[in-house]
Amino acid sequence: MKNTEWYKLDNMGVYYASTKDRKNPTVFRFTATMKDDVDVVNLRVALEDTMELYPNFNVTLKKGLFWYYLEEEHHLPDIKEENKAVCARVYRSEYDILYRVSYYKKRINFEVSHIVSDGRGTIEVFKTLIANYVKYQYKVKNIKLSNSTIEEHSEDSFDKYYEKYKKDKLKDGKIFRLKNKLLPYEDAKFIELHLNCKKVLNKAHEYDSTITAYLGAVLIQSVLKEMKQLDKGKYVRIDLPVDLRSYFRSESSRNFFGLTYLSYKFTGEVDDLDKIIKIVNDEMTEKIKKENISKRVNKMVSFQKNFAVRAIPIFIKDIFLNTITEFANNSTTSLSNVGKISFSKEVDPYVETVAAMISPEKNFKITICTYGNDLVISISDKYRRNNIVKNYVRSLVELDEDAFIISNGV
Amino acid sequence: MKTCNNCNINIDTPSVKCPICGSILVGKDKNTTYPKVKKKYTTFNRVLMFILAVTIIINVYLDLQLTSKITWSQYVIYGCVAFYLFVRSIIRSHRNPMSLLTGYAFLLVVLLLVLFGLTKFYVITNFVIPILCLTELIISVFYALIVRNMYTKKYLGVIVTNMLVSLIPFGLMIFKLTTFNVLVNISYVLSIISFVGLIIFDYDDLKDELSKIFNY
Repeated sequence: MKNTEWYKLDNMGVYYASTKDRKNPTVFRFTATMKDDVDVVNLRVALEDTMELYPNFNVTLKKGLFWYYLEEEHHLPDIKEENKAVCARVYRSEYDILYRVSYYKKRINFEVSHIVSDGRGTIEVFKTLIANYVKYQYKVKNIKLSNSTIEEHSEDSFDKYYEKYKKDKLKDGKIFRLKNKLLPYEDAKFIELHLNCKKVLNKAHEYDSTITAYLGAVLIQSVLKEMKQLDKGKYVRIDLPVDLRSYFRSESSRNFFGLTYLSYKFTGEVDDLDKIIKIVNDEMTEKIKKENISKRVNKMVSFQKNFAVRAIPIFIKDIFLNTITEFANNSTTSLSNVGKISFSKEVDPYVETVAAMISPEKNFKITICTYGNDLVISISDKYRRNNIVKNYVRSLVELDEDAFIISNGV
Repeated sequence: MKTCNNCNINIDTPSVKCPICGSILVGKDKNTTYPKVKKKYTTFNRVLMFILAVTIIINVYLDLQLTSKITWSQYVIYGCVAFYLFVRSIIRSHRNPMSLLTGYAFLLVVLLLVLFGLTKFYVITNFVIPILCLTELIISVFYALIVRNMYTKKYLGVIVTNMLVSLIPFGLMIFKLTTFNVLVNISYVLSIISFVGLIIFDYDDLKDELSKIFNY
């Protein structure tokens, strides 16, 4: 009988495991458009090599008495031509490996359940997969791969950096949410908006701002345009996932992110972009300070560390977490900037574009990534009609006359 | 690429409508980046429901024709409903059938204990509960032996749970809630024998499995 390695779930994994059966569970997709049509045989070999380095990704989710856990699998999932919806659920049964690799024409898609990893953690695995594919497909030698060890990849960094007595108290006002009709079943719209990164960066610099703050401010402005008079007392709240690897030393490919948010309330005067950006800049500077991020992370981890919580059987935790998720005062939307994605100079010539996206759960979400000079804003949308997205895209298209959209056609 | 004149942007999509404003796109694009994904909706559930409904209707009809009232056909109805709920819960919960069966058996034991508490009908504690526990234990052990080398480790938790469930008749005997103890004795003795066998033959795997289940 083969021995199988198993892993305890990290703090965020616990949440995503308990809410895995909800509609549109959180799944990331990283996609690379190659120079030529994808060769599935070489992709398979590349995946085998990649999972040798990241065995903590090749796992299934199992149910224990008090917590879920991840169990390593000895086989790899089949690589198929894309035949499922974008970010379709990865977990269906306890035998399903929590990621999926598919291809379509020149594109390689890597979709991962949030139970296993976050955006930044997945990027490293995705980059290794693409590098290995280039190695076999184009016979490129001496490609430099990540030099971190398996122990470093599979480390639970939440556990490592948890400090018991530094917790944050969260406070929220009433939050504005769009109340349009949702798409049926698990259908969702996916829109990739490709922009010239330099043009957007120059615009952000004009406002003395970063790209994330600028795009966040444009998003707030787009939301404000759609708010009814009665909703003007509510906050526009945009969740901002923060990669904790830039605050704490960690090579982990598991979940290691904190959540902060931008909130903005209609001031009663004219809310022009200048004013919004100034407020957003100030708020971001304050909220992404290491001390504040730390407090929020400790607050999140304290749930998992609490003895009373630990002693509750998993089926009760599932009910509790699903109920909280159902009735939680959710944000208006979320904006996640996974940052610049770069490959080694040997791999770069074979990759045309890269995009990152995330499933929309029950509203709409925005993911940003940059590859070379291509800024890709991916919008996943659960609504049938969404004027916020329309306002947002139209505002950004004005910055670049060569902008274009790739959509899944839902 | 197609073009949306309303949004003034080029769009690569398998759809004929603009994903932003919903207006009809201009131009044709056969080489789209995303494929047109066909939705697959299973008809299994409907077929199963139809077969069971036909079974119930035929049985009720025959029962009414033969006896002029609903007698034995009510058990067919219970059986069909239970079967449908069992199959549906397997499909919906995505759990393996053995652990699901164990869960139901445990639930049934609890319901029978409640029934015994209300009726003091000793057939329940003397026969029904021990037979249920024994059957469940034997099925799980045999199932694990059959699929050994493939899934044994995955079923160890189920076997251990069944062993613990099989000790319930012992508890009933201790609290003097039984009047006939032959099946009760067989149930807990078999449970202890299985547990000893598991420790001797599969100690490392058992330890590993329990550490996963309890997350320590």
